[in-house]
Amino acid sequence: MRVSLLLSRFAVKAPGIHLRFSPAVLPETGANLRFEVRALLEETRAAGMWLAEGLSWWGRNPELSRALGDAGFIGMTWPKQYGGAERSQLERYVVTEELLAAGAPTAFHWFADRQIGPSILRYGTEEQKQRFLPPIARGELSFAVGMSEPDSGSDLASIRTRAERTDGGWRLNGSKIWTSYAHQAEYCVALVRTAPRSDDRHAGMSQVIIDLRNSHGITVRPIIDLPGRHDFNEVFFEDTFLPDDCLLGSPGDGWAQVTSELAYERSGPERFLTNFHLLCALIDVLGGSASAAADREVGRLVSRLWALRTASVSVAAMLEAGGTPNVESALVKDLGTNFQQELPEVVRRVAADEEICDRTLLDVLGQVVLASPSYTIQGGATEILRGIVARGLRLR
Amino acid sequence: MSELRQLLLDTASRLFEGASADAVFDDVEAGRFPADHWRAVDENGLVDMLLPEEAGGARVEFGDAMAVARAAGRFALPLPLIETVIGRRVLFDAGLEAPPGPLGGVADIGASEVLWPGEISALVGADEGRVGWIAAGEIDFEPGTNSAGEPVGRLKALPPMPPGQIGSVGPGPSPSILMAAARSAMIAGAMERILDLTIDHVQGRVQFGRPLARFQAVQQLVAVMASHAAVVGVAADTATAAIETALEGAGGDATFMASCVKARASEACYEVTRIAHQLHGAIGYTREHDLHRFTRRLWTWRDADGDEGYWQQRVGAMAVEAGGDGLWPLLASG
Repeated sequence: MRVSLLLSRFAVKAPGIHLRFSPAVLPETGANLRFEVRALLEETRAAGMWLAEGLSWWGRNPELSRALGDAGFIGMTWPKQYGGAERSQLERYVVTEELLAAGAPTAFHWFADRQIGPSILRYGTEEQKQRFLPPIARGELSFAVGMSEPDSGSDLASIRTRAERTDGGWRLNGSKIWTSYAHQAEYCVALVRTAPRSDDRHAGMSQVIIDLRNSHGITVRPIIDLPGRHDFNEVFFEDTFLPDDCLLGSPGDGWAQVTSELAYERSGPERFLTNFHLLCALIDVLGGSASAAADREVGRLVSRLWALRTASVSVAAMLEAGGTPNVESALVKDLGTNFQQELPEVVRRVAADEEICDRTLLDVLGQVVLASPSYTIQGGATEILRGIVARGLRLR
Repeated sequence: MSELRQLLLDTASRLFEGASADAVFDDVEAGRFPADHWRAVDENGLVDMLLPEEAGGARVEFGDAMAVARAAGRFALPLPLIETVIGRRVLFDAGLEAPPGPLGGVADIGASEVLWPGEISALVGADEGRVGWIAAGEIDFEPGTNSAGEPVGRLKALPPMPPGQIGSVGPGPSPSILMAAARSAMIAGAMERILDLTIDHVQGRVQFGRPLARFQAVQQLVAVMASHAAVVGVAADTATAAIETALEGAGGDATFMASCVKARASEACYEVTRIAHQLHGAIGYTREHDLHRFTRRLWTWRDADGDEGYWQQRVGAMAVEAGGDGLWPLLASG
């Protein structure tokens, strides 16, 4: 009996493979910043510039983005010479979570601020940095992201859209799909093939910056999503000419560039605060009359949210320290989006148990239920994320 | 990690390894208190580690003590050490002298279970702003055994404490908050060990010609389990840091955070134990494998010092009181 026990104990003597999340504290300067953001949001909302429509960061409001840009809240970690504020990742984290908690519509600048700007800063030429970063930081320039294709969803490396060398630039053919706001954004950064497929399936890809407004051979087809909104598009490229300076970084570096930014895309508070307003609305309706059972349901959600935030802040600190916490950020996105998906189900249950018939709450609940399938798909599907975590644990 | 903490952890791990030998678990399940091992942790200063030097302690930081609590979880330590460490600290802070020997947990939540009712010298109890102790011999425990096979005494309500053995709790984290954080750290430690055991098992066990770890279904389950363990770990560390700040008088009482962390830690025990057993198969459902020592303790610890329902209700009441507009400031300040 003791033999197998001793063996198994011997086997675990080696230090375990754990995902390392060190607790992190948001900076002292964050407190002031937090109040500055809250004040700006209050002021702009009072002025009728925006409404918390329940779309949160998926809502697009150029006016609000310009106001945020003017206040220095876009591109805030970038060098001042490119319009940035040279603040830390953790300070940016504070601003981001304040915007989300308020339900502010930020899609106009979100993708450029979160991943495209940092990519340009890291891989772009001096000319590209000067051309794109300051207007992004002012909240004047909107970018879409072109990753998925009709036949390439989770398996991004299988993309087929290709850019071929031509006089003075590149000729682009193919299509991108789920390209949010391609019908409104000025530019799109897309991952495309610049060399034929080879044995190394991650080779031969590059990122290109596409001028959506002034290029020929681009067709944007709207795709209406489940809730009935138009933010998705399919974008077709037919012999679209891209000038030489469209290339971001060196040809063939696309895959490495895209994967190096994943942690920014996946670990942020938008992976658990997207429908925070629904929880707030529930609490408002419950008021002082919550039953013990309702308290428990609310407390369960709030304690999970708080715990998720500790993990997300920990990843932000790893990013600030220059790390590439792709495994940890996959984990945060998995848990966070599952939390978001379950939240409306809990609200439904509490609303039924407490016999709540508040129309506003039930309307918000209805909207959130319709949006909820998207959380665990966009930005990395659950199954892919868990595969990444499993690889981090050296299971594959 | 500070040098002191490393030293403390080295000592603790050495002692805990001895205290988690097969024979010790056998003794515990037979109702025999491992007195030698208790003496060893006491003589090495662990029991009084949170007391100041003038009181015979080592006055380590709260975070250092929580690192030891986590190690206790990693070893499924079958001693009432952490309860005693916290109990002695809260009695000291209230100006009371603790009786020697192991103490029963800091109870303030109605019905509860106390480990080793026949061995502890006293039970530490707390309620609104007060903390006190009562000699174990004066309490009428209902005897029983917990899920981990340890002897427990059940209490329907906190017995009244003798007047001379009651003091006021100072500002900062309350005794039950300290114990909730400590128990969460123990849970985090046990989860880490369960994850190690599970990874080890799925990598070593071959079925259908390949290790279990090669099956996607298995990988996905391990990932879910690792996620819960990791979040409980970082949440426990974050709450510990806040408590340490509060104990130094540098602000806050960490009540919200510690309540959240015990709610989350207790809740996660279900998923972690469920997946660990699922992946271990039949061998994990035996006493021939070590897994049961850790999963059975999680089933005990999730209920100890307030189960998830208790803490969820406290967190929920704080959230509802804050209101829709106040919820975010509550979360962001915590």
